[in-house]
Amino acid sequence: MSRRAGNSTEIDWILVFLYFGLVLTGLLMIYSVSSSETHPSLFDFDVRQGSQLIWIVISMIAGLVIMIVDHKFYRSFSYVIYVGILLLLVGVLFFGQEVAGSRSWFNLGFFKFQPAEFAKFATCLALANYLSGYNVTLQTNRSRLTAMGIVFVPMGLILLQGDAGSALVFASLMIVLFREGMPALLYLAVGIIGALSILALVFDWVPVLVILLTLAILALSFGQKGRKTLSAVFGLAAAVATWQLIGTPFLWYAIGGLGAVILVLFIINLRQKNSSFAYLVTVGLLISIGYSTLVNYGFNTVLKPHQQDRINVWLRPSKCEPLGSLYNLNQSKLAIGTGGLTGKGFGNGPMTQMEYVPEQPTDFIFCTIGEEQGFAGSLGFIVWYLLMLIRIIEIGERQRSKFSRLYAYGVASILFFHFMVNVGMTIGLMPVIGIPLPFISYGGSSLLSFTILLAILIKLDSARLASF
Amino acid sequence: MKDHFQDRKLMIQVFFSLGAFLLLLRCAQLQLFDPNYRTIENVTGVKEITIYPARGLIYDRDSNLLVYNDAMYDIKVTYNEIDEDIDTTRFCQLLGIDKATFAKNLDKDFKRDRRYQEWVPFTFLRKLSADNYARFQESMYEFPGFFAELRNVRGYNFNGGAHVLGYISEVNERQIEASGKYYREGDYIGTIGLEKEYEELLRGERGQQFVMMDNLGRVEGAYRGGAKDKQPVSGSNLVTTLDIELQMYGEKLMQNKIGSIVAIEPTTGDILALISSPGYDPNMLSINRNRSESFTNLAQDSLKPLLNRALTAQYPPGSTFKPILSVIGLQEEVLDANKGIVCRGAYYYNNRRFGCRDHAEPIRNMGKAIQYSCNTYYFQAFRDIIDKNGYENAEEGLDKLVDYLHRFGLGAPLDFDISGEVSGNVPTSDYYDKVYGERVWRSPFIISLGIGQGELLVTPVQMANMGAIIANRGHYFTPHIAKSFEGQDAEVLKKYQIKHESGIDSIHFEAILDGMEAVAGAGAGRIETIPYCGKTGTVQNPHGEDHSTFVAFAPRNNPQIAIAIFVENSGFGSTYAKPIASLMIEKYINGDIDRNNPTRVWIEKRMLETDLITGYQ
Repeated sequence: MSRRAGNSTEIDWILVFLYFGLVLTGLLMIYSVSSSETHPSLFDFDVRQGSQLIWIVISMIAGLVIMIVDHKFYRSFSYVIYVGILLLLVGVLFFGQEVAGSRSWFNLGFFKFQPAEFAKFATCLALANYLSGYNVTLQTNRSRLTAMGIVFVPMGLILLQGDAGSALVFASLMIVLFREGMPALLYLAVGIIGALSILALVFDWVPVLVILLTLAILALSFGQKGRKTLSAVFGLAAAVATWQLIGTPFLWYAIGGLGAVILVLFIINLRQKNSSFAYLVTVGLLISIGYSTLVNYGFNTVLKPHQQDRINVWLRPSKCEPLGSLYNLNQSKLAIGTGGLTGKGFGNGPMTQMEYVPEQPTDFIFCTIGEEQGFAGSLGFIVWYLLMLIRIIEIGERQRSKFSRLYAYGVASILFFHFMVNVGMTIGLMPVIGIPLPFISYGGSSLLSFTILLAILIKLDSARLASF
Repeated sequence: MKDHFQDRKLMIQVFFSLGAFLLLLRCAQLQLFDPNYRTIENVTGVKEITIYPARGLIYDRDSNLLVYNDAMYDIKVTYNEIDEDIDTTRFCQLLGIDKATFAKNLDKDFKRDRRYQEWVPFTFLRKLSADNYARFQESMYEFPGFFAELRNVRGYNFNGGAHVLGYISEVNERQIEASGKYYREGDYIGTIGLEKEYEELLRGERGQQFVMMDNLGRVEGAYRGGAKDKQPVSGSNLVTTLDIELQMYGEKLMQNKIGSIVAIEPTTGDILALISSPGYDPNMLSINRNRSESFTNLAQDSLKPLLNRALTAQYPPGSTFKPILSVIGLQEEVLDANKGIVCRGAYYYNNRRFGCRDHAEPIRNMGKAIQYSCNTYYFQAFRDIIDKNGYENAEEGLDKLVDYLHRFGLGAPLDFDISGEVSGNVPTSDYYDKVYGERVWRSPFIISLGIGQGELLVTPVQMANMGAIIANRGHYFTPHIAKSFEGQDAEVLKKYQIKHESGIDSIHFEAILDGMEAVAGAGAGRIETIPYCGKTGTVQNPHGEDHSTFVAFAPRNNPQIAIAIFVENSGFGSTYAKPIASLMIEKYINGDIDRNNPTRVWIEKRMLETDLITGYQ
């Protein structure tokens, strides 16, 4: 059976096609911004498009090698690869080259190598291997903690390098754990905390307080028996009135009034033998108020100024200087926005052509698509990427081997995080975190590592009918 | 193995799709619906243009424009917009610079120097004159990346009042920090004089305009429809109390002399003229490319023309102190205005002799003592004041006197609207306790204070204020130069409307006015048409020729001007200080000196021609 694994008929050509489509798009976009009258050729190896072409070839060779190697190798050696990469991550802390404040690159002379990129597939392999073990089930705390440990160790090491962006990518592997049965409540809690943090940062403390009080009133209104609509409408009206009073001296009376409404509803709920719900809502409210207060405090004390800047740019741009921290994002949005419906045409985007957008061919490559191909291009690109992500999940679900399925989810999670954050940051939807757009961004280390990540999946999938 | 969580596959796929949908929505908003990005082709960036407000103008009391704004241009550049193929030779020619300057001004360390970034405009060339700019402007379009910013610098209509008006200069690092980063590198700030004191009212508020630029640096339109733009607010115009004609006349009279004149309108405290000699032409320190050279020359001049002597020079008042000692004695009831003394040409005490002069008349009363500046009388008067509570209690007597002197505005800065004022000196009993020991010293120890010598020091502006107090018969308004800010009720000027009492009843002043009028009416300072009061003084100068001084107000009734003058190294008060003051008074009250009176014309000519610097030095 194992000989069939190499049989080309088992390769998922749809995924391969989607992959090549993206790589080609990336090359064309890099060519579009990097070619000039002096370097008109796609094959000019002195400039970016040529360099990217070389890396595409190298990636193809790596992909072929992965196809040739026996599929059992990846599972058997997953811990070895994982430990090896961890050693490299430690090593780079001591022997790495410092670039812009972070120490995450090995300089090998002929090419620069970033172990964090390769830690992604290594961690995926190790996590998949662990979770597919015989005695492992995510219903025990021991397994949960071990699984999270596998993710957080490389994440911590990368954080130590000063590369917060790449470190955050590993958090996406929590999606894999979700698929395998990590309690949904945990994700809900994290989601609420995240939403509350964003709310507290976007608005001032007072509006958040009013919003929380309103939510508590609504919850308690619907928790009681009878008069649900009446008290909800009344509570909502009081909340709207309070909202209008923000900024006036009467505000605190109104907030006091909302507090009184909550108290009354709380007592009603208690009397109706609904006390556990009433306590839950009230304690939740108090914790939320406390937390939203702490968020702003933590923001000002824990985060470094450049990190604060990035959050400000993302959530409260009105506090930023248009030509200061807001500059990159403004330029990026301007480039994409001026693309309009159909774009300015291939090679015709003046902003991306002349590098008015900083980090253009690497982190802000999506600007070129937006500016030159317009909304039509953005739509096509985003749908294409989504198709690939969904395809990867479908591939994962058809595996008989749990290891392969888990690995597929790992690949999908990592690609999704990169895609969401990278495209999101160019349009102001996400904070500016310097992570590349897989298969598109200029850069050899990134292209090679993502190709390896995907190629292993294609290999595992091609062997799905083989025995493990 | 059984898979309990198969349903989560769909949840994850929906989650991914929602994420992608969000991205699409945002793209649609930016690319299809946001009006800020429609209608624009070829936009490559946003540029902030600072709009500098017009600085407040400065007028004199008769609405003569003293200080106006003169256009000057800063050429700025955005590094990554520069076209490499521009004709640098022509560019340099147009701006009047050489190629080395061109290269140097563009050579910024964008990697490490945080002040400079390739996409943020920085100043390429400062202080380009309007003429030069006009030449460059016509061809500016040939040089993408370069643009000009209008800066207002100061121009002066009169070659006078430099010390009062002050000047503006570029902010330094410390001032930027102190202002909480309000100022930015290259901004101008009032450094001295009125420009400094009223900086916040004069400067106005900067405006900003954000515009979108295309790849050739052309403005494509307002950014976000101008939502982030801010219109500049012009500075407030300042009307001063100066009478520029009087100021100029005084400066002319003081040429080639060291010293200063301060003239005050007694009823308001308005400073009519404030002259410090030698001075300088305010245009020398106006902002232009020759400025630093001018400044160095002025700063190194041994006569210190940058020094404002009216506030920073302090002299013993000499005999000009006698009138206020008189009224203090009257108020304290230790003197009798109608009682005279017998002056034997000196004051003797304990076998020591304190000199006086021979007088043409006996010192029958206080008026005569003033008229003839009788030292004997004032030694005695001083001792009467100090020993009021007994010879053993000199401290109490002196403390009382010091208290009066403080209320006359002496011994501390008047705190008016030109900073840098020194306090003068009124020695206190504490001071003498330290010098001689507690309760050891007696009135004779400090008797030279009685004739305005010893440790007593006053500044010209304090002295003029003293004249105003006598003119007002007992009160004063803090002297000041800002009269009003056009179109607003400036809070900072309120303190100049507070009436300060000296603690002397007005009735006591009559006793000294006859004497002061007699002083004014005699000799070279007499003005036929104006009866006025004055007192000369001679300040002993251990370093050379004595300084001459004169304090006066005119006319005697309903005074319009009080004036104090010090002329260094000029001998007796009546030789220079009094004639110059009388010319100022006549000029102010009558508009000009009496040209039909040969004596007055001769005196004016003599004062103008006198050179007390050359030869003396």
